[in-house]
Parts: sequence; structure tokens; C-alpha cells
Amino acid sequence: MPKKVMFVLLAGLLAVCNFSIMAAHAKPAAPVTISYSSSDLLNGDKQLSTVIRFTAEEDLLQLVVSTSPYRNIDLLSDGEELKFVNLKRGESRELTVRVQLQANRGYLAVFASTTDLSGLERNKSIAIGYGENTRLRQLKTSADDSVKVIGEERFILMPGDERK
Amino acid sequence: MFFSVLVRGLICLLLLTLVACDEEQLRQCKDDGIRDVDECLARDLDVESNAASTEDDDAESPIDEVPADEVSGTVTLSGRVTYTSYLPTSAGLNYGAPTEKPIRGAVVELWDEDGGVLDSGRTSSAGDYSLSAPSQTRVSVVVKAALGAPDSLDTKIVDNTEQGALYVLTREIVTERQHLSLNFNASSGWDGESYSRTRAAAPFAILDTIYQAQQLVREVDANVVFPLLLVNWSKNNNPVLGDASVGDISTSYYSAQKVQLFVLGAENLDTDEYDSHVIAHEWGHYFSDQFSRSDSLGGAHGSGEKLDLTVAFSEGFSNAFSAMIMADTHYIDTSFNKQSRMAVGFDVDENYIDLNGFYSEDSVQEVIYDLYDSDPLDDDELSLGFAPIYDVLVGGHKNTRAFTSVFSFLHYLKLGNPQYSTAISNLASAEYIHSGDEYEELDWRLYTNVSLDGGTITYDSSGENLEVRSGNGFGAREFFKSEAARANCYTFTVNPLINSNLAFNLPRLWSLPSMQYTGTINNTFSGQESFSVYLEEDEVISFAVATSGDDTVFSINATVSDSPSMCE
Repeated sequence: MPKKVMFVLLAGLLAVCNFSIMAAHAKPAAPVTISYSSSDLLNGDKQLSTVIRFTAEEDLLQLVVSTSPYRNIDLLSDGEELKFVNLKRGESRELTVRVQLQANRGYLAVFASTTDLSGLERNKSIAIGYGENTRLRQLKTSADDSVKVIGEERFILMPGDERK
Repeated sequence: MFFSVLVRGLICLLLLTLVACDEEQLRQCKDDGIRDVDECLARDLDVESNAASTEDDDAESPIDEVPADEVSGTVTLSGRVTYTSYLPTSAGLNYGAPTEKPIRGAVVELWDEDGGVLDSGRTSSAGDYSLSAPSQTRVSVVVKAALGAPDSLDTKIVDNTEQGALYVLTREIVTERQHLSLNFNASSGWDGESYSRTRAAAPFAILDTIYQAQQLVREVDANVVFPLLLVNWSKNNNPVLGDASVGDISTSYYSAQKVQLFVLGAENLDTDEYDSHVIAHEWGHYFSDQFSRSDSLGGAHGSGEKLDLTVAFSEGFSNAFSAMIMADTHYIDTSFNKQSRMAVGFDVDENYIDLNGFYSEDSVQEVIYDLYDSDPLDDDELSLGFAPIYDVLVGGHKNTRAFTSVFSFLHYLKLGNPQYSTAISNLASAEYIHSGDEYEELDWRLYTNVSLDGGTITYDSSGENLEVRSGNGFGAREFFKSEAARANCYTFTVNPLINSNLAFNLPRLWSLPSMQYTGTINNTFSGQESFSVYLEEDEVISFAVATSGDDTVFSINATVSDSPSMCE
């Protein structure tokens, strides 16, 4: 499927979601929407390319974007910052990245920094997930919190540090 | 000389008696079924003086020289629990200045080695607890990341990536024959470079913000009961749209459908556990949903955006509410590598955005906060406090026939406080929110009247130069209202003429059991939709039609139903 069609489908899905999942109240965010092509996510190849689209939700003086590996992923393309200036509301800029998965599931971090017409700077961070959602146990970074099941209740036991 | 020694001796005796009284009082409270330390101490003693004596005890020795109850074989196990906290700043989280804050209002239990509950209670506003323990036994003091009564929790901080497991802070101890003091802290896990150890403080940081939110409400409604709220936090909670059970939660948000809050915890991307205004903002959505009413579409939003009036009110209120809860007007949300940047930051009391009006969350938040505040820097003449705001939110604003907005809020605030009506109008006008009724401004009608006599209205947006035309932005839907001249069963139908992407929306008032309609309203974009409803004489109904695309033409028809059974 062509990427443009995919973007359109995603946008349509989001528009429907806005009205069907009416009750999701998100925290305030920077005025930029980050979307990405998902067609390559279906590719069995572990080297994947993704087009990331940044759409201004307000007129922007400047938009700075960058990517970096987050978990279980290598960034094969250039990860340097890209700077765009003078975007009108609704205008988009794109960035293409190529990544390689190190495991069944990996994450690429995407950062966007916006400066609006009043000079106000705001930042947005998202991640793009690649591969299957089977990585939970692999991602546990500390072994010292443990789950205890008592009856039907589950508890995550976290040791307290003694204080005088 | 002798006199001096005598006076010192008497003072020492008095102090020892006070300390012993505390212990005795706690034991007496337990016998009387009072589990809350604050409640117990407030019965006879000043709480602050007691907290001071507890601090003195801690400084001297962790073990009190008070023998176990010889008859029952129990000892008192008491102490203070804290969590490590960091302040969000314009340069990110300030890891250089950690503070250990009390875990307040949390449920605390004493577990035997099998997890059986031997005793339970709640921590005080100073983080103090007191439990009865069998002497010479291995037990664990367990502090739950939960608020409410031990047998009826109202808030639980759970891990959505561990099947909803509740976070608990534990400390094991073998009791002796003396009463023991055990203080412990939930550490952040931050080693100066990364979170390399268990992030035990995170759930309790979230819990403490919610504790403060509940206190604000309790100050104006002592009998308030909070419906159970699940707060899902995990270090695996990423800003990825996907499956929440593996941590892909998209962003921090409140789900009214689930009555659950989801909070980001992704290190080096976006963590929100210490961003207390973010937690308070989302709790504000829970409050609106459970105690008031919000017809908000939800979705992405921010300063400077022209929003649907329901979204602008919902978000603006939650921003103002976060400042009230935290007693701090500086909203800060941190993010980025090592949590080193401010993602979003603004002063709730200072609207410097060049976009004012009912569609701006910036305007709404400043109006609501200005109505509330009374600090020395207050730049307006009103200082109403939270009580009248609460009364409106749980009263007129909740039951309005209009979609919930700053107009319904101000309308009922002025009705309930006529002596301030002019001042309230002036305050709103300064943000270009002009006088009107509960629906709209008098000089900018948002609602189109639809007659109930069977006539048809055709709405045509073709060629209109609206700035926002989709999602939750201003202009994404058109508002209508009808008033019944006589009681009857009426049917409303919307037909797309150009662009079939339409959706009928009703205010959430109509989701109440006492308010019934029949028909097809599925809140998703589709073709023709209709519904029937019984209206009493002079009763008003408002509704909206959501559209997408620049060119939309549709017709609306409202008529007496052919069959009264349509409304049954």
C-alpha cells in the first residue's frame, strides 16, 4: 500500500477515534502531531524504513526534530537534528529513518521541539514501536521488584529503605 | 541548686508522661476501632505537638522502652514512611535536590509471613503509622499505594503491565517484646545517571498528588465519597499508541469509560510521576467525570489552539484545578533524555497567548483561577475560593441542557452568586468571553434553533473559511437546540447531502438513566442518524452534528413522532 494512502487511513482512523473514544482526556502537549507510515511494520524483514511526518497544529517559527534508538533497536540512518522554519498551521515536514530490530520488539524515540509565534518553546517525545508486543519480560530493567499473589490480589513488592 | 534540679526533674517527668500518653492513646484508639492515626490523635491531643514528640522519639532511639502487653502478647509497631521526590523545573526534573516527603493517607497493613493481614490503618498527614503486632514474630509493614479505608479503597496505583498489580512498599521486621519504631523510605532508584534500581517512589509521588486533590475537595465537602480510581503507572508506559497491557499508552490521560488514569513512566522519553500538575490535571478530568459533567470530546490539545468549546472548558478547568490542588500556578511537564527538558510549561494565572475566547483553554483556565485565587499577587477583585466553584460544578453546570462549556459554568456561578455577577462578567470579558446564557454569548450565537413543527433546516458549510474543521477543534461540529411548545414524543433526523461523514452528538446528560432517548446515535461518523425523545412542555434539548472536511451540507428535521412508542 502506498505511504500516502496509509497516512490518509491513519488520519481517518484518528478522526473516528476522536468521536468514538470520546472520553480520553490527554495532558496538554506541544502543537505538533507526529504520525508515521506503518506499512513497513508489516514487513518480516528486520531492517525497516519509516517515514515520520510532523504536522504543525499552530503557526510555528521553528520546528526541530530528531530521532534516537530507545530500546532494542539500531538506527541505521542519520540521527542528526533537522530544523524547519516558518510552518503554517496544517503544514507538514517529513523525515525518513531506517532501523534494525535487535529483538522481537523495539522502540525508536522521536523528539520534536516547537517554537510558536510568541517565542514559546514546547517539546514532544514519542516512540515508535516495531515488532511484536511480546517483549515485556525482556524489558524489565531491575530484578528487585517482585510480584506476590495473595488470593485474587496481585502486589508488586518494593523494599523500603530504613530511616532513623 | 536544689530548686533547679527539682524543676528539671519535674519537666522531665512531664515530657515522659506525654510520650507515654501518645502510646497509650494509640493503643486505646485501636481498642475503640479507630485506625487512622490523625483521627486518633485529634481526639484529645493537638496533632502537631504529637508529631513533634514522634520526631523526638525517632531522634533518640528506634526502640521505645515500653513493654509488650503482657496479657495479649502484642506490641505497637509505629513509625514514619516517606518517598523521595524531585521538583519539576524549566530545566527538567531537579535530581540535584531530592526531598523525602511523607506518604500521606496511604493504607498501611501488617502482614504475617504468608501475607495474612494482622492489622491495618492509614498513615497520617505526617506519614506516621501505628499497628499492633504479635511480639517475637516475623512480620512485614506494607504501605499500599492506595487511598481510602483499608476495606474500601478509593484510589489504587497499579501496574498495567503486570495485570493490575498494586504497588506496595514493604519492610520486614522481627518484633520483640518491646514496642518498636520503624521508619522507612521509598527510594526513586535514580543513581545520578539513570533509574538503575526499583522506582519505588514513583507510585507514591502520584498518590500524594491525588491525596492533595482529595483534600481540596474535602475542604468544601466533608462527606464526599470518591468512586474507585485506578491509576496505571509503569516504567514500561511509553508514549506509543498501542496495547496498554504492554505499556504502549500513547500519553498520560484519563479514560472516563474505564474510570482509570494512565501515566507515562518511560525514562529518557517522558515520565510524569513527579510532574504533579500533570497528575492533578488528569485527576481534574476524573473529578469532572465523576462529580460534575463533561461533554468534552477529549483528544490532543494545548495552549494557543482554537478548541471545541467543551474541550476548551474541560482542559482549562483541569489546568486551573491543578494549580488549586498544588497551590502553585506554574504548570510544568518534563520529558526528554534524563528528564532534562520542560515539555510544556505555563503560568495558569498569566495568559500570554494571543488567542482569547471561549474556545481557548488558556482563557478558561485564567478566568477560573482568577475566580478562585486570593494570594497577595492576585490581580483581580474576586477571591471566591473553591466552594462556589464546586457548588456550580456539581449543581447547575452538571445538569445544564446545554453542552458543558465556560458559558454554562459562568451562567450558574452568577445565578448562585448574584452579588458578584458584574465582577464575574468583567473578569470573563477581559478574556473576550462575553455575556450570554448557559449556551453561548448573546452577540455570537453558536446554536441554531430547530423548530419541532416538522420543518427542515439545511446547513451548508461550503466555502466557509473556518480555521479548524476536524477532530476536537473549534468548528468541527455545529450546535443546535429545540424547545418543546408542548409535551410530546419527537424524532430528530440528520441527513447528509454532501459529505456523508456526520455524527450526531448529545450532551452526556442524556446518558443518565433518568434521561432516555431511543434511536441511532453511535458517535461515529456515518450516514443518516436519528433519535426520538419525549420532551415535556418548555423542555429544551441541545445536540450537535460533527462534520469533517471543508464542504459539508446536511439537513435536520425534527417532528412529532408518528408513534409515541418511539419514545418508550
